[in-house]
Amino acid sequence: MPIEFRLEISKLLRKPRTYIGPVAISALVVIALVAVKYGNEFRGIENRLAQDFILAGSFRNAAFLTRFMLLEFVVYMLLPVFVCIVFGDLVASEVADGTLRMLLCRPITRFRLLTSKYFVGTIYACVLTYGMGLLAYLLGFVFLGRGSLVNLADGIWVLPERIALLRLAVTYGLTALGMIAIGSIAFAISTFLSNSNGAVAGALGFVIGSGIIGQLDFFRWLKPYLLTSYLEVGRFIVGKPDIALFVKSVCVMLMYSIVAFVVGALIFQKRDVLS
Amino acid sequence: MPEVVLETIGLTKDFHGRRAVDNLNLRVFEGDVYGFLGPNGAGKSTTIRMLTGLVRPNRGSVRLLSKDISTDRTSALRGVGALVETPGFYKYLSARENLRILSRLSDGADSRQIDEVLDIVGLLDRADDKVRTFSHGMLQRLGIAQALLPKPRLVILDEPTSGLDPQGMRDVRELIKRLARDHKVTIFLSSHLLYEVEQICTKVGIINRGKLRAEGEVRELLGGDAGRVELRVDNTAKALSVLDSLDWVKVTETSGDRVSLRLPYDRIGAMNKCLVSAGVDVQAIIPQSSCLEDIFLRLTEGIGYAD
Repeated sequence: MPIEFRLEISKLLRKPRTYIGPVAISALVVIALVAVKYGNEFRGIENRLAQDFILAGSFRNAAFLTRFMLLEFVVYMLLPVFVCIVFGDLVASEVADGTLRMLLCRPITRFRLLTSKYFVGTIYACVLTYGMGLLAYLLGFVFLGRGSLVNLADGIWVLPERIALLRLAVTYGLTALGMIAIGSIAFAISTFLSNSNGAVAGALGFVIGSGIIGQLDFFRWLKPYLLTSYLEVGRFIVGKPDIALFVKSVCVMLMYSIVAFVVGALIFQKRDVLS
Repeated sequence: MPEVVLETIGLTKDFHGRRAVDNLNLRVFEGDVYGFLGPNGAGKSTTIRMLTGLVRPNRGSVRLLSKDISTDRTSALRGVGALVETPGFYKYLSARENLRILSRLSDGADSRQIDEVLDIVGLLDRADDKVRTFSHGMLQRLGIAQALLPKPRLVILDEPTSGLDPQGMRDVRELIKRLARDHKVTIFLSSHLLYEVEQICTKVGIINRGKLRAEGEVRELLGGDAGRVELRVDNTAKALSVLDSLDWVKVTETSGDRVSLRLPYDRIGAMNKCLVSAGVDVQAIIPQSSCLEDIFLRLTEGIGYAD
């Protein structure tokens, strides 16, 4: 493993802001668990279902909680915020703290340094996303039990546990890829800023702006190119998954990530380090 | 002849249409302690950033240890330690951890070497303290320590005593002298403090508005063995006629009972004897040590400070 990469990992693990996301997400999973287990809304649904169907066990189980965590609010806002906090900080904070000068006075290439930072960011995005899913499943397993995944939107779908877990794993993977794409935008912005807050705000502004544009009729023609059009990951869990759309989603997210990284690398290569 | 360890050829940098460094040609030889002197905004820091590859020149090239930094950056920086402006460290890590991170990027610096450089800068006893608890002076010394990590042949220091209290400045100057003397490191340091350069450096380059105005041995620039002396005499005319007959004396100015002149220091006694023998009452001989400040002001007067 290249030394730059190992150093970036160790720096990331020592930064307090690295843990903001995991702590907040863990808290959210616990809150969701309490809501699913004790919330009247879910109990009411279960009672209504029991009137029409014979329920073996409860639909409020580990798979349901894991699926539940992929709420729009989490995928469109919460995860991107925490991913951008880390991605946007990777370069910009080193500029602000003057540590980038110290690193670049060493016999290493800028590209290697930037690539190491980028890969650390992608690992963080994956760990945070999959970590959320894993924690939700484990807590759900302990406090709610196992079982098939019952989906109540767009009709009632019941997925056997094994298939549900497989689809959840793939969907979480797609979510992680989406987070990498958003994080890559923050990363690209951070290569020419000296302030990580600017990179975070810029990337989130891009996501929110894309979301708004996607809702406007006038810009309907732009929708296939917008990243936010592909963040609706929940649709791949139940029903008959649209494989073509899934592949397209992967390609768009990869494209956003690659373009953002290349732009960032070009800026970083040419950048005069003045601060 | 000593090896050239740092060389710039026609180095030029523009920022938004303003020329910060203009066709700069520098040569630093092995063993030199080279002072790069200039007022604030003269182009010193931009030059140092170009030397370390942080800023790309518009024209010209930089060669460190015979390697071109723009085409062979990693080789050029191998064997070079640098401190560019105020050192930045990871505040949430200790001094030792910071150095460990930087050492891993400096081909082969081990933990023994980390302790060694911490000892050199007098921070070994604070090695495990978080950097956030360090004073400005300690950070500056830690900055020098990180520059020493790659066992450098050349150390580039940008305003190394900037922001330090008098004791801190003295410590850092002593440290630089020690490095050059005991560790045989070639040092290139920028400063706007004339006294500092005069105290530490063997060679000096004076830059203003991005142009190199003068370069040479500090001793040469200060006039070699010749010195300036001011005499106070009872009879200026008589004194002048005596002094005119001495070919090793050059009168530079007279004003009332004062005569300013240049002569070799070891001939002051002989001159006094001649004056007294001729009946001139010499009331005072005041050595006017020529300092870098005079030269600096002479070279920058009328040119003004760069923005």
